[in-house]
Amino acid sequence: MVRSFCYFSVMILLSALLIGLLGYGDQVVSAPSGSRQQREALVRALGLTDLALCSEARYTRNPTQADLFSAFQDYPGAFEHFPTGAIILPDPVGFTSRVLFRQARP
Amino acid sequence: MRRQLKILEYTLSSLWRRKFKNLSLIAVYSLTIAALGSVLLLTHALKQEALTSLSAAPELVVQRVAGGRHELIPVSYAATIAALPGVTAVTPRVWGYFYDSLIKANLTLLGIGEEPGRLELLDGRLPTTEQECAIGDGVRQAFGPGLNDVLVLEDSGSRRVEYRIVGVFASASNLLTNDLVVLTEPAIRKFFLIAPGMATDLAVAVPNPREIKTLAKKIKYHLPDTRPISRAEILHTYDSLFNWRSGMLLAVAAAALLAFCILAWDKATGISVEEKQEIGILKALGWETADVLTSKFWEGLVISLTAFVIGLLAAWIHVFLFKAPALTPLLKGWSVLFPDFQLNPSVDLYQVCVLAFLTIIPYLACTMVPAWKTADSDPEQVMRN
Amino acid sequence: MALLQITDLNKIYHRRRPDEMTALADISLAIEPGEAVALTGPSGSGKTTLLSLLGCMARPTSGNIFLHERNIARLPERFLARLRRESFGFVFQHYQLLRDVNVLENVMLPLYPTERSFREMKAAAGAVLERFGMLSMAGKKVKQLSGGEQQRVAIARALIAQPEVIIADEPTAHLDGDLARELLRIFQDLHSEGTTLIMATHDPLLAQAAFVQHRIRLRFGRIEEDLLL
Repeated sequence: MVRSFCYFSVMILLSALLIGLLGYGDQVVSAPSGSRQQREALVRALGLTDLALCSEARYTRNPTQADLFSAFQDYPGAFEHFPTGAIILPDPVGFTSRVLFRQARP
Repeated sequence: MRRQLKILEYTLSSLWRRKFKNLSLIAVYSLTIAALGSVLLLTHALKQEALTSLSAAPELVVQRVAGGRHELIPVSYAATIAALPGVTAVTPRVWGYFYDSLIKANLTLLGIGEEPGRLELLDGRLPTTEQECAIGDGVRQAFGPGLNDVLVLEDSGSRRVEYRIVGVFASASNLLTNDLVVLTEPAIRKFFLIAPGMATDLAVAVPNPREIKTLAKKIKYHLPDTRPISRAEILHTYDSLFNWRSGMLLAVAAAALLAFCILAWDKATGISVEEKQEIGILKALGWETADVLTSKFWEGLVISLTAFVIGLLAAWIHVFLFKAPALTPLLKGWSVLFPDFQLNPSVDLYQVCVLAFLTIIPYLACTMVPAWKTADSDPEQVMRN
Repeated sequence: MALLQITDLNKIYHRRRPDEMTALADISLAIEPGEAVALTGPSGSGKTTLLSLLGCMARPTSGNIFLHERNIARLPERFLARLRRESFGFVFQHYQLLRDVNVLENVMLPLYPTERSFREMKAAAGAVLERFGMLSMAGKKVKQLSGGEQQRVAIARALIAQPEVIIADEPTAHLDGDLARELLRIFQDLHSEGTTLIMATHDPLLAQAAFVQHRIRLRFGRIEEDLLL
C-alpha cells in the first residue's frame, strides 16, 4: 500500500508544519512581549489613536478621528481614494458620538 | 478500516493515472486558497496589532464639530471637562497633516508637551526645543536625512523651516509612527498658525473604564458642539475596519473561488463516459454502491484537503515570512508612505476552520453527488449506456 | 437440487414509455452445479440480458431467480454486490478492463471490497495470472496487450475470487481461430474442475463443444429450445 503510505506521510508532514506554525503564532501572540509593551508605551506617550497604515487622506490616515463627512472634502471635484476610501464607512465611529442631546444627563 | 485503506489505495492509483490533470487541479485550488487565506491572515493580524497597540490610546478624545466639520477646540473646554467627576487629566493635543509637494506624501505632525520620558522604540530622544524634531522611519527613508541631520518643511505661512532630527522611531514601530514628525507644542503651533488658546482636540484620562460612556454623555451635554470619541470606539473601528477592508479583497478572492467551484461543478456534473464505465465495471465486479461512493469521497478529500493544507501554508509563509507582497499594494492604495512592518503571526482559528469548511465540503459534494446516480444504478444499465 | 433456477422471468426496459421493450418473457430454466451451459440465439434475442440477470447485474421486472434455493431477484443492492463478488465471475463481451491500469491491478479489482489484505490480494492475483501464463505481463497496462491477452486477463479477473459460476458473454467474439481454441481449452479445464459455466455465444465452436451439457436457444426473448445433452 505504497501510495497510501506516501500520501499519509506527506500529509502528516505538511499538517504538522501547519499546526506548528499556527501554534507558534499563538504562543508568540499570547506570551507577554517586550515589544508589545514598548509599542503600548509609545502610544501612551504620544497619545496616538490610529495606525499609520494609509496616509493618502485624512480620513484614511485617522479613520477613528475622521469627520462624519470626510470623504470628498479634500477638493470638491476630487476623486475618491480608491481602494482605501471606497471601503471605509463614512462614519466608522460607533455609538458615543451619536448621542442625542435629550438623552444626555448632567 | 482495512477496506477503507484499500479503497484509498485504489483511489490514489486512479488519481495518479491522471496525474497531470489532478496535480494542476491541486495547484490551482491551492492558489485560490492561498489568496483567500492570505487576505484572512493579513487582516486578522493587522486587526490584532491595532487592538493590542491602541489599547493604550487615550480613554476619551474630544473634538469640536462646527457645521458638520472638524474644527479646532478651545483649550478652555478642558476646564469644563476636568471638573467632571471621574476625569483625572485633560491634555490638549495639537496635531495636523502636512502635504509635502517634494515627495508628494502626507505627513502627520504631532506636538508634544512635557517630555514623557525615555521611549525604547526611539533611537535618540524626543524634541525639547522648537528647532528639533523626531521622525518616523518612513519619513527618514522618504526625505533622506537621518539622526542629527536637518529636516526642511514649508509651514502654513509658506516659510521654509528647518528642524534638527534628534530622534528616529525604530522600524518596529512603523505601523504607528511611519509618517510621524514629532515637534514641541510651540513649534507646531507656529507651524500650523494655531493660536495658543486652541487645540486640535483634547485627550481625557478616565481611569475607571465603566465611567467612560457616562462621561462622554456628560461632555456632550455640557459642550454640545463637541464629539467625544472613546477608546472602545477606536478599537471598534479597527475591529470593523479590517473586516470592511478585507471585504473588498475577500470579494475578489471569493469571486475566484466561486469561478473555481463553477469549473469544478462543471467537471463533476458532466461525469465523463470513462468514469461512468469505470463505475459500471467496479459495480459489476462486486463493488457496492457504498464502496464506489467511498472511493469518490476519498478522491474529493485527497484533492481538497491537500489543496487546503498547501494553500494555507503558502498563505502563512506569504503573509508572515514575506510580508504579503501580493496584497500590500491593494491595502496601500494611494499612500506614498506605506509602513514596512513585520506582523505578529496571529491567526484566528475560527476563520481557519471556516475556510476549511468552505473549501473542503463543496468540493466533496461536487465529486460525490454527480457520481451518486451512476453508483446507485444497476451495473448492466451503466455498461449498456 | 439445481444451483440456479429461474421461474417466469420477465425483463422489460423503459416500462410505460413509448420506447418500451420486452427483452425477456416468461423464462423458466434450471442449471445444475458443475454444468456447462451454452446460450445461443440471434442478436437481440435476450442472451446478454439473461446473463446479466443471472449474474445479479440487473433486476428482473417480474419473476424469480433462485441461487441454492434462495430467491435473489429482489435482494438489496449490497447483497447482490456480494454475490457478484463471491459467487459469480463475469467475462464480458468487450472484456471491460480498465485500459490505463496494469494487468495485476485489473485482476485484483474484485477483491478490494473484501477483508483480504493487500498482500493476499496481490498473491492471489499473481497465482491466477501465472495459471494463464500472464505473470510476466503483470506490470503492463491493459491497452498495451493484444486481444487474446486481454481476454485471458478478463478470465483471470473473473476467477480470482474462486466463484462457483463463470458467466461469459460472447467470449470468442473478438478472437481468431487459434485463440478461440485456446479459450475453449481454458473453459474445458475450468469445467473439469467443477466450475459451472454459462456461455452466451454465436460461435458454433463453443456452442457445440463436447463438454457442453445444456444448450438453450432464445428467440425474441423467449426460450425456443432447452436441451439437456
